[in-house]
Amino acid sequence: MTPELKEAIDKYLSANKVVLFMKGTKMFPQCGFSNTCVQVLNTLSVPYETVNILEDESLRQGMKVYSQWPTFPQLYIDGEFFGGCDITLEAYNSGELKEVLEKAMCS
Amino acid sequence: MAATRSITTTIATTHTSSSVSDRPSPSRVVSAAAVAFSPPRYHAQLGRLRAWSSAAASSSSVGGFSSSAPFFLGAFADSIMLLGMVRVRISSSSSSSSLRFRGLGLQAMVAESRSVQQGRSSGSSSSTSVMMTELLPKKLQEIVKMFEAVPDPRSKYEQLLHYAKQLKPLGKEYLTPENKVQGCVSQVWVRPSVKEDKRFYFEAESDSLLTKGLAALLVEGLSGSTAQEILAVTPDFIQALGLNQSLTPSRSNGFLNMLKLMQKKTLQLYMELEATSSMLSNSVIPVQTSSSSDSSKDTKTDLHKMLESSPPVFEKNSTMNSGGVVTTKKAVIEEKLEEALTPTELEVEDVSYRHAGHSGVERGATETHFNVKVVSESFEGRSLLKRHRLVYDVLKDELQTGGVHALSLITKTPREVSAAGKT
Repeated sequence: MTPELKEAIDKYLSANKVVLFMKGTKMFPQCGFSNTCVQVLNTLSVPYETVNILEDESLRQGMKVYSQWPTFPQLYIDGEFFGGCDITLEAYNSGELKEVLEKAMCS
Repeated sequence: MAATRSITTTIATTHTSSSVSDRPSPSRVVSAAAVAFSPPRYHAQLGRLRAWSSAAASSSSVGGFSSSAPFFLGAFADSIMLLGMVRVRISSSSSSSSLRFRGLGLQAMVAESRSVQQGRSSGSSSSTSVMMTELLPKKLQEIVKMFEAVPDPRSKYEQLLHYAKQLKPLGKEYLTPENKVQGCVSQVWVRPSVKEDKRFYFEAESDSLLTKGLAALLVEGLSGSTAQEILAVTPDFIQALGLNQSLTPSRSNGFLNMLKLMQKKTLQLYMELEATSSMLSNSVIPVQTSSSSDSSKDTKTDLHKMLESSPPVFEKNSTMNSGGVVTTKKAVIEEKLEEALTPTELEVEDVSYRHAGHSGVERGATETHFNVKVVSESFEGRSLLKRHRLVYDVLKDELQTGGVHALSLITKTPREVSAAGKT
């Protein structure tokens, strides 16, 4: 995890409210879990960015260190790590995800 | 075109009276080959075929096919191997099922071999396949080459279905849980048997046509091989078959598990045989005891060495319990979670088969994805995120370097579970 990488990630996260680090892209998810998150976010009609970690191995490893989370997808809301697929899905079902997203959108 | 037709009928008449007349396949196969040769670019081969057919017609009808075979073989390069293989298969009596190529498949194969002759179009795939297939039993090598020569996925698929139809049914008494392939979407059973020549033969059964085809492919490819040959097979050849477009990831993984079960059962059977044979030699001829049991020990260690170097193929509860048993990732995960979280409930399920063929997952990788359910007091008062982090921490090594790609986590406290149960 180089300082440049960390800085780049920090910058990206402060510039984009909702970011999903995933396998594949929003249009072409390449993993079932990543796809689940994409579908959830699509259903909530919230604008979000996706980052394909398969494209860059250093980013893939870097994000694992940055988030202290070993798997993908990784959802960031308002610069803070929200969770992986399981958490996102559960939060969606409980309504918590909608709340957190609304709060982020307003701020 | 008239010339082609006359050749076809000549061949057909030659073969119906040949010694293998009970099988209609030769004439169909060869006539299909003749059809394949009719496009303009095969004129040269057509000329040779004409010459061959006249030679065939003039030779005696019985064994006419086999006596003119050398001439035929000499006339064509790659396509020979395929047709020669067909001839060998048909005349062999030991194989459990006489699998033959469908006319369509052969046509495409011949077409492909022709283009390979011309310009090595599929150069890269053939060079890698040479490296891999050398480790495979001969029959399996041939099957792989056949599939490689057919580039069209549809033909490959149809070939598989063809295999399925050819597979001899397995006796009902063998459809037992021990013979069942785990991690397969359909039901597949395999049964090994060994003959006096110490070679292993397989039978299989399945309730779905496609998996039957896959099983039949393995049955045909592995039957008649020695235990060592079977155990040396690595899953790489699955890639070489190029069936990826026809098989969903779960099917691919089921196929892999079929292979693994066949290998496991081969080893079990082999061990049993070695045990009984050394017992027998012990009782019968005391003088020779030491040498025979030593040699069986040597083979055992060779086998074990082979197993240790190849990827683990056995589950934890395998009956083999000599020093070389491998522990599964699943077992390690369970142990670590037990120790760290003292759960009241723990379920670890290997669902890698659902993700085989995933991007980012190496081909042939096993134990990559797990469903984990943990109910533990240690989760009390912790957010979902914190709970998941806790589990990830415990399994840090598996995730970082152990090849585990993902864990689907259900983390609950005992209170939550009982509350859910009451509603």
